[in-house]
Amino acid sequence: MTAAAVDIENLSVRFGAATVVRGVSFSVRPGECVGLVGESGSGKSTILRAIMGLEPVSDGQIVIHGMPPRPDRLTRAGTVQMVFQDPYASLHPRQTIGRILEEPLRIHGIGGREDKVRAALSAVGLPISFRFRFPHQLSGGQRQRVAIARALILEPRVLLLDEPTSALDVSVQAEVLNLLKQLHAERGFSMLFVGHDLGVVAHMCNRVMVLENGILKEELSQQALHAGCAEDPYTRKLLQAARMEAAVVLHVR
Amino acid sequence: MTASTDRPLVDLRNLTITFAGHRGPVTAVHDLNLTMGRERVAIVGESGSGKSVSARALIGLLPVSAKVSASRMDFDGIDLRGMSEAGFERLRGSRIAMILQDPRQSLNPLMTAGQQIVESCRLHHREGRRAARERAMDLLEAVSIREPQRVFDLYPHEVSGGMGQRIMIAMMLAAQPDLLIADEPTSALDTSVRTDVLEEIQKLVEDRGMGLLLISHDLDLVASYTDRVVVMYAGRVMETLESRHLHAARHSYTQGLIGCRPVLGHPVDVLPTLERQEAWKS
Repeated sequence: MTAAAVDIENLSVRFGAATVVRGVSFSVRPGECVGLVGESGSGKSTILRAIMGLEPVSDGQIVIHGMPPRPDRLTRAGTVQMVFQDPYASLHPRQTIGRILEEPLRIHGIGGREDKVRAALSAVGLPISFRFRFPHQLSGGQRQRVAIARALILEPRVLLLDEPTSALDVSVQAEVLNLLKQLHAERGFSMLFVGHDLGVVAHMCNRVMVLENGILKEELSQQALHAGCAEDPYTRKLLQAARMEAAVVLHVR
Repeated sequence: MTASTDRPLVDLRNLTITFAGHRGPVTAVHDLNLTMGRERVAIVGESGSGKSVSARALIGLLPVSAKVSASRMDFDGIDLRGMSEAGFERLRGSRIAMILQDPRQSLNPLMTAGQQIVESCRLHHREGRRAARERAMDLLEAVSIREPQRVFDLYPHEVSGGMGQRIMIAMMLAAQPDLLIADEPTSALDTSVRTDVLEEIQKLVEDRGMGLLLISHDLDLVASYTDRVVVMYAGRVMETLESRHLHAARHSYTQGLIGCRPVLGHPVDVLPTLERQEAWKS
């Protein structure tokens, strides 16, 4: 059996008296896209941030591609990268796009940076000339493309996505989701996709984990999600709301 | 003059809104025409299409740098062109109400939900404390809050997004306005409550015979809750159609907007996207 891309065992995250993630275990196989869903405050983003080393692991462990549980920052960053929800907040406002994309390469001592920046821009469908622009000169969708390019420039084996399209127009969401699917198919990295829109998650992911109050309630396959089959009452409630919305949408199409 | 029931609630002709930009003026809205009665109309478009600024012009909430011109800009027969701040003050809340995207940002964090609704009741009805409190409880019930007594004493940070939006709607109803402008009222909410909130708004607007101007970037979702849809792109109206005839949309922009949202139970490999054309900008 090949090692899991991400193996989470009995993970708990506590902030003071509040336990945000309670004994969550699951794994992501290489090349797979796994979704994490739940309502605001269910702990889904905290799990991503814990994998990235941005939140403390209070209990349990996270193993990424067989590395030791607490890898040094460079090794971790070279293996796992993250795209955040709000592209207006995640790009340095005073740096050009070129500099933003070059920084991870510089930190990791990787050469041929000029060429890599050009390749990264064209891979996400942006003109090469964008490297001289600042984030405020770009639209939300273009910024999220830059954030994806920055995450992929180190050729990570795992990509974490925290609601990557929630701050975008639905029309732009479609473009970004298509881009992510295409890059995933070309490069074969693994994805862990946090979202609250079940339609989006079902479109992107092979399997989905449902979280409520920091507890993993249920695992669903993509087919089960589309078909609306769930055992857990909370999952059923989420699915029912999403199916009502789907009915509304399909009614007008 | 005709009776007030015949005259349109909103009558906009050639509404043009221009902002001062670094490289000269930028026109955000070009010659918008919109006439609506006590009906439900959606303005749909992407960021920067001019949908929000058009609605804000109606309620006098544009920054001073904005230049508004129109050959007609009436609200229930009142000419809004060149209206003073004091004039808009009389319309806002009492005749035209607005609900914004994020209830956690539009509610006062230092007051309980009940206090805010009571304030609105007292301001618009000049009622005493007790009468206003009773009215506030009724309003919380009207927006389908199951335990109005409990929610009355909660602060905005203690309520969920969907509940916060219901509180905003209750506050707005206190004044019994004629027109409700809802600017992306569900974009900041969890999916599980989006349709509930839209349902609530639609029901209240219908029961009370109000006009609704619903602004959104999500054509598929809002079309079900409105009679007509105005599709905007780059400050221009691309197409206006009856919501129930949406599937017969002619304009390729509208066609592109339909179906770009992935839907549960309806798997596709690649999502349809928009080919934005330069020609639409002129």
